Amino acid sequence: MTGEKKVRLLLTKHPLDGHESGYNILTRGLRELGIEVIIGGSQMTNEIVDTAIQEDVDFIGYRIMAGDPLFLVQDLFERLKKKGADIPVVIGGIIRVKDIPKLKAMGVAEVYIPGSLLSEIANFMKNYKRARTT
Amino acid sequence: MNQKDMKKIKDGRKDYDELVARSIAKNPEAKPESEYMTDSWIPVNRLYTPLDVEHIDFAKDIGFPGEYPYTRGVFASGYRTRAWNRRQVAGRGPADECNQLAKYLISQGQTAFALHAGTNADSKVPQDTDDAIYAGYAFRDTTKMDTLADWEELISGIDLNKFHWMAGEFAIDLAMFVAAAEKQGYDRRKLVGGTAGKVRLISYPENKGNPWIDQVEFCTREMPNFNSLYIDVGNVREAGTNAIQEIAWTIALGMDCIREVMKRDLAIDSFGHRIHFYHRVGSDIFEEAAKFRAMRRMWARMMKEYFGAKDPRSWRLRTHAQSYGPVFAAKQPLNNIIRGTVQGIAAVLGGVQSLAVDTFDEPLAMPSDFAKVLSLRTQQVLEHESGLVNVVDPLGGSYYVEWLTDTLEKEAQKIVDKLEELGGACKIPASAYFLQLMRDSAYRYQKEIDTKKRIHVGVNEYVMDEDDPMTSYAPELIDYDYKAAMKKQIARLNKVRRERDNAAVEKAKKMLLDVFRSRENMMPPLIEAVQTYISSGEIIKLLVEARGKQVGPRAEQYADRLVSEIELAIYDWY
Repeated sequence: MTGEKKVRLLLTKHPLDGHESGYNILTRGLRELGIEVIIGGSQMTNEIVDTAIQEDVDFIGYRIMAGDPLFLVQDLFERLKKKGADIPVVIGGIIRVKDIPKLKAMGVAEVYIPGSLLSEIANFMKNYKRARTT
Repeated sequence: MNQKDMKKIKDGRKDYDELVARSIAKNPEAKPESEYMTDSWIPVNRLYTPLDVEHIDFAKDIGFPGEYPYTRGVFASGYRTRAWNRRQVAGRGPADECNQLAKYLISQGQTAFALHAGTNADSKVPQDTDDAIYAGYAFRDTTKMDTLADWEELISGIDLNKFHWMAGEFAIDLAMFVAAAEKQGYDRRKLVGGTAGKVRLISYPENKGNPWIDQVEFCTREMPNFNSLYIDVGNVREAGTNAIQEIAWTIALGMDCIREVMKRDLAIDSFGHRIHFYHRVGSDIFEEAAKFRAMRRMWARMMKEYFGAKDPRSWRLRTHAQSYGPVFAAKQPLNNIIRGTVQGIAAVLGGVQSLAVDTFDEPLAMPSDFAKVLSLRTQQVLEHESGLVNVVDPLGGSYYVEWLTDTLEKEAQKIVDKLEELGGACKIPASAYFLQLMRDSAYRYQKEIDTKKRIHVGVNEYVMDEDDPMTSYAPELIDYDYKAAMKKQIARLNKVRRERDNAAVEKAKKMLLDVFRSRENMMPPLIEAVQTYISSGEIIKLLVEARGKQVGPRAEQYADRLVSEIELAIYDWY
């Protein structure tokens, strides 16, 4: 696959969420699996949108632990729409199984809960990008 | 042991090795010899004998419980006199509901309370509930204290002489806790419990006016029974460090914080016995137990030899341990009950003073009350049914555990030396170095899971179909209406703002602004000011006004990306 541009991912999280081992592992693990990871750190949704546009990313990886994913993701999509940005969003963290279909209906590309494998996530993004660009 | 005995053991060991060689030639072991390791990748032998602990001096290195260097525990009679504190993390809804939750957990046997207040933005400074940062977040599994009125309600009807409170993350929380307790007739000199905010020295580099050092200084003078200096290592472990690194960070961070406190002309023995810790406890039972033994020994020696502490109470490392959440899986969630139990056993064998067993439903949602009580029951079964409390340091003298304790100490010491060489744990170069160790370790662990080198039951092995009852078992998850709670709290806050004596609030603001500027100890003025019902958010605004951006609520203000990353990773997360 030489010549194929790397997937660029903005990895971000809510300012009030801690317990970041998953976030740290993803940063490193996805980089080693060939994903370009931009560390957003702690960001409010408006900041996520600004960074994602500035950095011209292929994905927003939004990590949510104690926040309400339905509320935060809807807010994120509204802000993306306002700026006319069509950037796929992947969610990871403590997400209730029953909320997953609702998140996907909102337009979330994929949802990962604890126990997900790095390779699953990286492959998903690579395939998704390929499908979008071809 | 005399030479003759050792010779006998050496001969016996030779025979045993030959026996094993013959046996495994016929029936091989499950994996190659080099792959038997502890959770932090220390290679372990098949068997340990007195030959492995020959270099350990019983009197000097192991000794007796309640005696220096406390390898075998800080209290002479172990858990016979008093079992560990059962301190589950909890918090939900506004103060009145959180008070009910606390009372319910107390009625079920909880003995201490770590408030999940969620007031901490990434610089640990609380804003008011109507700040945009809390939208979609506050009250789901956290409570939120805005003014003294909330604290008054939170502690009402709870016996503060018996029940240990962790009084929040920031100086404002401690001020409100003290003011609320005194309004209810308690004497601050008798209050028990402790502070819960980790000391931040990178984003608050100046000693004078550092809110966490102010807390230690204030407690040392006025709250002698209150644990004042909080050494938070649990969150560093949680971010992916291993047990060796956890020990090293305990010692190195402790050293740096103590040096900082001593700059206030406080003698080591005036606060050394009021230092308290937070650790995590993983599933490798022997390594985790040895970890607590090793760090107690290292801490005692550091306090005595490096800092010159003379009071034996200053030599004792008393800690709270929480089970290691990152290995709790969303798949087959009931398995997490077993993980919590295993980790609880490890903590008790390690001789901790306080324990929290994570709830089994944590990877799925905010913990339910059902799961919270189940975690308490886990602790109670360990206390009453397992025999763990009968004997002090039951693993002491085990050839393996003594060898492992010694090995962990040596490995951790190497990291401590490096952190000291880099200027101390709380300086940027040392923190950056440690951050790298942490990331390497977290990543190595995950990679082993991904490649099945390490088996995570139900996750990468023994995986079941999605519709199997074990996998699909969904505990009754909490469906708390946090939006209504938020509305209620904002209404409460507005009512307080309306009804308070706003002239007094303005006066308090002027006083605080002066104190923040002069960098005098902020605790006494804060305690006075919060009684006007000034809110945390208002106080923070004054702090930012007086000190500039460095105390602002967000990490992004750090121009230096590395500092921001360190802050995020080591200091600023909860």
